[in-house]
Amino acid sequence: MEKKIGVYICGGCGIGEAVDVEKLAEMARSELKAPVFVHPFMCGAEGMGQIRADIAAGKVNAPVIAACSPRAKSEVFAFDSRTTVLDRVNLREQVAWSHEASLAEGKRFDEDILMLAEDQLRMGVARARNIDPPEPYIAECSKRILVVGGGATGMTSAIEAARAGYEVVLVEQSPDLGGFALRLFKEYPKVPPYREPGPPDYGSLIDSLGKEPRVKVLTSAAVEKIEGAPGMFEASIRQNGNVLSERVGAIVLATGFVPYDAANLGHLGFGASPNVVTTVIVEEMAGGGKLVRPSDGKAARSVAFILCAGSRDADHLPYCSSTCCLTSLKQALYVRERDPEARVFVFYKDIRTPGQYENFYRRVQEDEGIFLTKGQVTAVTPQPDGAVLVEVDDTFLGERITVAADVVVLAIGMVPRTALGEEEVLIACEEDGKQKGDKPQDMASRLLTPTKIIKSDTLNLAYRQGPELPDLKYGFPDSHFICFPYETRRTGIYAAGSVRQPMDMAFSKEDGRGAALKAIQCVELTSAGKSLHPRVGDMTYPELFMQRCTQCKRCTEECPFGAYNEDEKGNPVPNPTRCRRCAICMGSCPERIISFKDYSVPMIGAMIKAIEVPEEDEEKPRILILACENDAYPALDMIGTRRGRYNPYGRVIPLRCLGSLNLVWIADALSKGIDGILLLGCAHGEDYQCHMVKGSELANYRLSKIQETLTRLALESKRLRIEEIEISDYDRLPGIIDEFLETINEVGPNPYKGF
Amino acid sequence: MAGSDLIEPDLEFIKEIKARGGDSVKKCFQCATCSTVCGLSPDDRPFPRKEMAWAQWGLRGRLVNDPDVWLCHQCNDCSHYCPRGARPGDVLAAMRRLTIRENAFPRFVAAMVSDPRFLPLVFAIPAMLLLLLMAVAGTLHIPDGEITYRHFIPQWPVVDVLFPLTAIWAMVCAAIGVRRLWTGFRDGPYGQSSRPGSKLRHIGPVILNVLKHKDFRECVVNRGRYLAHLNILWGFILLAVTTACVAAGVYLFHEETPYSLVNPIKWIGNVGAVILILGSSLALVNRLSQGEDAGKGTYFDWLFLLVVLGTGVTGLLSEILRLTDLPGVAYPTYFIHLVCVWFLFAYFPFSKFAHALYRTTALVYARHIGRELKKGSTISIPVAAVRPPDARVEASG
Repeated sequence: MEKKIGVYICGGCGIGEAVDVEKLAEMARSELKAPVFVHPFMCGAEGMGQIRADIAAGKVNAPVIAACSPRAKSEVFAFDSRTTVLDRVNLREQVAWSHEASLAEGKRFDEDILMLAEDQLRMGVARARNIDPPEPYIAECSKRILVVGGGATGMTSAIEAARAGYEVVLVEQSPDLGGFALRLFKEYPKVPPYREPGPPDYGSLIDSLGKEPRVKVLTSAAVEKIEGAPGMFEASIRQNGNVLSERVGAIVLATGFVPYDAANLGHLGFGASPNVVTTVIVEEMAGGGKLVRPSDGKAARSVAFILCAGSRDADHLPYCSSTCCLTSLKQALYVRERDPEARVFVFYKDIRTPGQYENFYRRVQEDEGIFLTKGQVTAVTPQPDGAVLVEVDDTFLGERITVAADVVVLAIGMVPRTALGEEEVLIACEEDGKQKGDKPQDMASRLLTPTKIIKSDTLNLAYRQGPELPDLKYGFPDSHFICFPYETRRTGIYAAGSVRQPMDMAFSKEDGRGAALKAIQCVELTSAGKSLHPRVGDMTYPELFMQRCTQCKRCTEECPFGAYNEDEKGNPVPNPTRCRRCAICMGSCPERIISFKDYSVPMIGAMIKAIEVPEEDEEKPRILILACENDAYPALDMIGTRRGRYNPYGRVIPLRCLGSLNLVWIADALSKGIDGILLLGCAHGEDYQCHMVKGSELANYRLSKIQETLTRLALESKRLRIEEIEISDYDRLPGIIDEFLETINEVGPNPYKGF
Repeated sequence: MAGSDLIEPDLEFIKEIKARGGDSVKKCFQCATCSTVCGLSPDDRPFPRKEMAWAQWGLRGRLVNDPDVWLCHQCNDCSHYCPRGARPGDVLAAMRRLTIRENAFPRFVAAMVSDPRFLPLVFAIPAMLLLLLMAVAGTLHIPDGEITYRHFIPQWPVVDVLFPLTAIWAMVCAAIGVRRLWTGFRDGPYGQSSRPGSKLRHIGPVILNVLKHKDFRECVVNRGRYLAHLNILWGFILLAVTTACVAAGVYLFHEETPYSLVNPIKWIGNVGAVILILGSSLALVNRLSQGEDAGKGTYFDWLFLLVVLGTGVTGLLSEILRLTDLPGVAYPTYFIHLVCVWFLFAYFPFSKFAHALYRTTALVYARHIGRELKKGSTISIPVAAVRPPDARVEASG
């Protein structure tokens, strides 16, 4: 597209008081050779009228609007993105609002703030010149949804999606729908007043499901293989020896959990006596009406529950399985209801009955035959007469106690189905794989958290990066369960229910609903050629200039979402609908052949080159700030809105993700004479904040390599710094930026200035 | 399994606690707010948190032998602040009721006094005894002439035989009860530990504190009880002094009742009666107006309080009716008065009255084993616990 740039400078919201808007306009006219329009209130009818009129008249098709942050007023400054290239220059939050003017005598404006505004505008124009309107990737998409698992989660998901008008294929491995609920005698109360357990309610779900003509239920079925990408998955489903092929747009994974294997709990007496059982066994016993001592069939007059049996235990399941407390309380009532003289002991680490379930805890607690205490079970010793002595330390009774139980019940936890299987560890970044033993390789293994795939035979994805969803922790295939619920690291596949996080039936149903909504978003956005979370609606996608590809495989390995497959020659095969537009591949590519219509290595390079670097003797250092658009850039805006103050020598360029950082930009900046480069990314490692999972970690890794290059160029490694910023760290940011400036001042000006 | 107690909860005991006013016991979830807000609880192994746990688990043996149950004065700060409505104050009161019964000799009397089904019998016994003795002495009619209660209730055998025997009975039963309680304490959670020296030397300071009602003043939520209880206590003391003086007068100096209104002994008695009535009325109003903060009043509490009030009111009325010369009302009133007085004497170790004895015993025991209460309490901090003054000098130097 031949671009007709128009510069629109707003003087409102304090910009006009901080920046000499006329001088800025003058610079734009003379230096940038673009028509300039200045208005004290650009987002008003007059300003917007002018922009729209210029566009309609064909005078401008690339408006560069120098006003507030691109994060503000996006609904006002909205134009047809297919025909218009929009660029927003942040003069308000990051220029006018965040710097203290130091005025020379007789001057109304601060020179440094003006220079900052000028550079911001130069960079904006450079960006506008280097981008094109997106051409969305629109393929023939299926809007059907595949739900894997026919328990409470899967059934709810299927029902909700069907009611919203979407066709669903539901796959259940066993002959009956219902999931784990089928094995329950009673369910602890899920409705007010939360006092009495009732029969497990899966029947109503099965009934509702039966009334949905849009749902195709396949029982005794399993997923054999899934090929393709969101909007165009081809699922092969095996049922009774036949293989069915289903084309679907999105997938909900709701395969649930299996109980933890009590055979591992020998230290709690399991296996040593038949009278040591699990909550699962008690459920079966109660269902069969025989709640007795298994060794001799005598009445169970004294029953001891040991909670967290293998849960919250580093040697077994390190996490809380969330339902064991309530299940044990429910089963304590089974015992008491059968025998009013029976005594039930409940030994817990902490009793966890969140929310309204507290009412059920109270109800059970008030039963005079149920004895609860916190405590550490130190020994479980079967006696010759069949009784089992349970010794518990650190109890509420003030000391170590022993109780003699007829039956000891171990409250075992949940293991997600996806945790069962052989592990395959993928190093996310096998840089220079041939030179194993080299220093960078060592660094890679130290810096990068390996990605683990567990071959659980759940989805059998035909993906370059492995057949199942990557494991976040403990076998749960999550992405980040607080920030992005249901998201996995495979686009268009949403985990819900106890396969995502330990949860009970009530929470599973909610989860099923949530994941169904995610799946619906996926099929709708994908079929419109738009990106999913977090860059929702983005219509660009990576384009590869394949002639220059060297088959180095970095893009296929580093993509956190497995968007690239590989052909037999090792060429990357992009799947645009799997792509989340983080541009990590763009950062990884040594040949720089990957770009987006509005985001590319040359574009950022041009922005860097647009920065005017003063001569050394002017004592005006320049710092390039490359800021992640997800957390760091909004944090910079927040300093402005809260009128924080930092020095005006930084030049901020937002990146889609710090992982899209291409090292050539560092070289560009340093060779231009920029004194320091500050990279602001998200926290990485175990509790990562990165929206793109691995972006900031990869940036960190790449930076560790360039530090050596800097030393080789006789440039101080101090000129380069990476900081982890969460959005809530905005108050730390001015300190970081000012402190970095001090460091740069100590190191001195970049010797390449003026070359 | 050394060092580990085999725990066998006593379900019956839990039901008994629930039946005696501690029905909220199972609501406790061991947050220890109660022990924190309590103005009396010691820092070491504080009550009532641990008592709540023991009660929930039906550990009868520990609770009936636990002196801490008696260190509580039931000001109900704990019940007021309890986030779960477990009402530790009421639960401890229930435990005290149970302890009185457990230690009582003979036990059936305690069972009788605490069971409303036996209410008629409880009063029928003194009434029948009096009527029988009056019949024997031939005074079973309203006497003529100026009202002289001696002519209605004969000195012999009522005053000379019945009341001394009743007092001896009460003392013997009380002594057995106290002995059982003390022995129980030694088997209880604090065991045989004791500070050197005779336990008897603690009796004086404890009684002095009781007379001053120091512990009651620590109460925050239910401050009204301090004045009520103080008045009742002093009412009883003054009336006991009067009774002793009159007894001395009658037997040693052959001074016949009634005494003249200007006699100082009469004055003491009248003041005693008035403050007894005042105190018990205050207690009554307090219980009726304070709602839950007053603590859960059971039959056991109400019976005792009403008898105390009844004793005071009938006593004072007897005097007024005598002076106003209304024999038809005066003699029956005096009869009721004596029934009440007999109740207080005879059921002393079995009714709520026993708390005077048991709490004092527990306070002596607590001092004896060096179990100190919080500031402002009866138990002084042992010298060893205070930092020696020269240590401070060293620290500053």
